[in-house]
Amino acid sequence: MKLLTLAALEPAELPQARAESPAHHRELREWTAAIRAGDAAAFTTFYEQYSLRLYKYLLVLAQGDERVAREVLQTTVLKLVRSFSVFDEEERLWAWLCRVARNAYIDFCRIRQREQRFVPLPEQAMELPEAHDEHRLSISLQHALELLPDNDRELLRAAYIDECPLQELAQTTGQTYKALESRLSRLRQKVKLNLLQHLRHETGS
Amino acid sequence: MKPVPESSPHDKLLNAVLIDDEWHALRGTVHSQGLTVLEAARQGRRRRIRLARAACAAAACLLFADVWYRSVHAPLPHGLDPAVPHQAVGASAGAHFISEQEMLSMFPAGSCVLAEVEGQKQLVFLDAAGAQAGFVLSSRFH
Repeated sequence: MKLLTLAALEPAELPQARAESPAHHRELREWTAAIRAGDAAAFTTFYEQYSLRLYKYLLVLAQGDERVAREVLQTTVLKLVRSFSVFDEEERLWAWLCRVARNAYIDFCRIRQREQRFVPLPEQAMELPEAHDEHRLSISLQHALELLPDNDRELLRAAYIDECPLQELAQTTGQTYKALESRLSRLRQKVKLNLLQHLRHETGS
Repeated sequence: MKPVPESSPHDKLLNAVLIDDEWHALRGTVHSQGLTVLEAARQGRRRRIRLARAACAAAACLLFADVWYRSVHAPLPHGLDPAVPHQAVGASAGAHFISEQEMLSMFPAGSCVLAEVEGQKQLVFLDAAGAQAGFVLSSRFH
């Protein structure tokens, strides 16, 4: 089993402009037009593909505050549904989604500011480019993993990046399947906690 | 169709960390809310389209009624007033129209025509009553 090194967890490359074919443009246009027209199946496909990505973006905006990110995700999706636009480039679609999410987050902060009177409006929400959410999350993930012992990092990599079957991993680690599942669950929780803390401190500082 | 969002191998680990029971619950809730709003938006759009169509149809009916009313009730040109046949004037050509009586009175007294009635030639006087009473010959016929 390979050791999970920091090099392996370098921040994912920022999304680059991909060469998209005219057929892809047409498909995207038809798909977004269907969502705009109220096609439930098209919306479901969209939601399956973009909800988690939007959530990650909002998690960075909300400085690791899961509750806020979830609440704003809900508002964002409802806003999107009410006035979906038609796009023929994935990049432009994603940029628009981020803009709607950012505006929803800013609105959320303004409302909270009015209610509490002392919460400052996060300036970084105004500045965060769409492409940097995954970058920041990768950095936070990297830091979160650094806090784990080597064997735990190794196990996470094998299970979630290399996608080794759990039965095989259980045999390798000399644990029962159930015990391995529990261990992975605890590790995920720990990494998540560290990741959110890093996001909080990184964006707060 | 399905444009695939950006992803990297690290996303798998990140997703495994972020996706938990709470996420699944939220995902389901937001999805059903989205579908509800989508349906409501679609119905609203249909309602607006129906209203717009009805408004267009009503406007077309009103326009038609207005055009029809104007064409029926528009005042005739002065010279074409049926109550004043003697002064009838052609609107476009400027020609004069006269009644039958006027036309007959233009002929000299005692005028007649040779007409064929039921295969027989007859002399028809334009002034039938005058013909019954007889005509006075003028001095030049003596």
